[in-house]
Amino acid sequence: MLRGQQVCKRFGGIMASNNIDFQIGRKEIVALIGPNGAGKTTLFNLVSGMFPVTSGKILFNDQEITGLKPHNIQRMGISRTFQLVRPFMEMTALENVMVGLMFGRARGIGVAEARLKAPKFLEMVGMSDRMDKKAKELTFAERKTVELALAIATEPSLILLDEFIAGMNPTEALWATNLMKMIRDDLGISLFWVEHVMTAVMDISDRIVVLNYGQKIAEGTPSEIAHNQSVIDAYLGTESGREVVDAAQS
Amino acid sequence: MPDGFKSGEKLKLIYPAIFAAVVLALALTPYMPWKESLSFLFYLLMWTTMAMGLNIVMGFTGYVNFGYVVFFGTGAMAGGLAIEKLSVSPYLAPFVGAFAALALAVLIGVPTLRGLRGAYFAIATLGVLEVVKIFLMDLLPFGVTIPPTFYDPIHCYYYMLGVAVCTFAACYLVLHSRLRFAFVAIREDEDAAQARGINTFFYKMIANMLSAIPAGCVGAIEIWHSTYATPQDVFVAEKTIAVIAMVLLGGIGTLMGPIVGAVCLYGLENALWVTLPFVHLIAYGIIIIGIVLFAREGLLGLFRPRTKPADPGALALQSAQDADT
Repeated sequence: MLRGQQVCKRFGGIMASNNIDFQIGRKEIVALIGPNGAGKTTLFNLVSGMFPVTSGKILFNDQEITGLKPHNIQRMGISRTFQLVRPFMEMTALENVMVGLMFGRARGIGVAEARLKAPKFLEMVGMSDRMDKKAKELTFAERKTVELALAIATEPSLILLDEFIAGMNPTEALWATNLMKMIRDDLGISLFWVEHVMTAVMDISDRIVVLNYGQKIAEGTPSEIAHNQSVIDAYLGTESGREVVDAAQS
Repeated sequence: MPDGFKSGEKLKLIYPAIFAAVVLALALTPYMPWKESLSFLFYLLMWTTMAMGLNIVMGFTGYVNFGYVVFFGTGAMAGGLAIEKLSVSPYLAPFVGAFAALALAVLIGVPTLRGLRGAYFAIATLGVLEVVKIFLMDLLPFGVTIPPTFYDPIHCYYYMLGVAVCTFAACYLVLHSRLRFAFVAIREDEDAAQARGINTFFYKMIANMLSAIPAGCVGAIEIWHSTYATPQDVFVAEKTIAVIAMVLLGGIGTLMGPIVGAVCLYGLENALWVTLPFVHLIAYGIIIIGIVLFAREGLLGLFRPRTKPADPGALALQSAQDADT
């Protein structure tokens, strides 16, 4: 469904994305992991059109989307959330979702209709009791959830989910992974998902893409990735990291 | 910032009743014992309309237009020239003024709203004001004079009242349509708005055009009323400052705020004009500073229940995450 071909992004002398190939199919959760500064969010910004690519191509349903404006990409069916959580703070949870309904794929519906349809999406993510709270009055985890409800309301076939579970406690994390599985299995929406919480990533991803210094260093199923030497090196370092691991094992 | 229309269901009938009573009282003024105040009310309605117009772009979409008076001036010059040179009926001049302001809004909007944000847009609008002013000063060094036979303060007054009511209605409709969601989303977070399918350039243009029309109308009515003006008289940067102060004082981004602000400030200016001619200018400055520092939501905000801030834990978590990236 989504395909990237040799995607490059250069910021001055830094290659934030270097020749990255990736592919996401229907009803798939693909995790995008890598150490801080590996270029995960940059890749999201390229897919969603917020930055132009330096070279390479991104295709969505075999249509090239590189060079399109973010709102046009959104309307083709790619929604996103933000790492630093950006719901519209002065709007209520319900109104945030209404924005998704009115300006997403189903755009053209009026305020009254959106107001009727919006509660369904908040219910889906378990936020019914927070409907009339302004986003700025919600907790961090609730804001993330509102953002996700907004993204679902735009009727996408793919959501770029930028760190959903980081910062949640174990109970919330379990709820969140179940929600993500529901989005994939019941709503049929694919997820391209940046995450640092490895247990959750290993638990529910269909595939994992690993970035380091802007390059793709590995791709595979969770168990393949967990035993991939270059991934371990990237996360733990080659020398000192190995010693830590060895020490722990002996 | 609050969006003032959501003030509760129980007041549903009271507001339209008050509104109708005020409009009726204003409409009957020329035949009432208080008809001496006609000129005061004319200018009060003018400032109210300007404040409502600026509020569309500054309050709803968050784009401060420091050159807002350029629409007023363009409307005045276009309307005046149409009457003087083309013998257009003064009754049509406000439409000419509105159209000229609208055309200018498109002309300015296409280059500036595509790329410029925040302070850069504000500075660009200030530049536009100076350019248009100097251009017209060269073109019309003696200004525009309207034949005295057209002097007709009562019809001018009704036009002004009509424009004010229409502008209010337009703001009300904006706040109850999808436009409000697009505008507020742009104000809150333009990138996020775009990522959620909002064509931000398109909606910023709409806001800019909607805010230009009333100012252009009002400019043409004002020159009809005063029968004479030079470009120096109508393209006055202080006028924008006054309108900004009104919007801030009443409550930015709300339906009623600009009206409250305009009534208070124009009332103050009028009261001080005879005794202390320039004190109101100082008052504008003090009010802008005071509002920005102590009461961001303006006078209306003072009468609104405080919203509870997000719990400190969440904020701490957020700042920890911010530091993380």
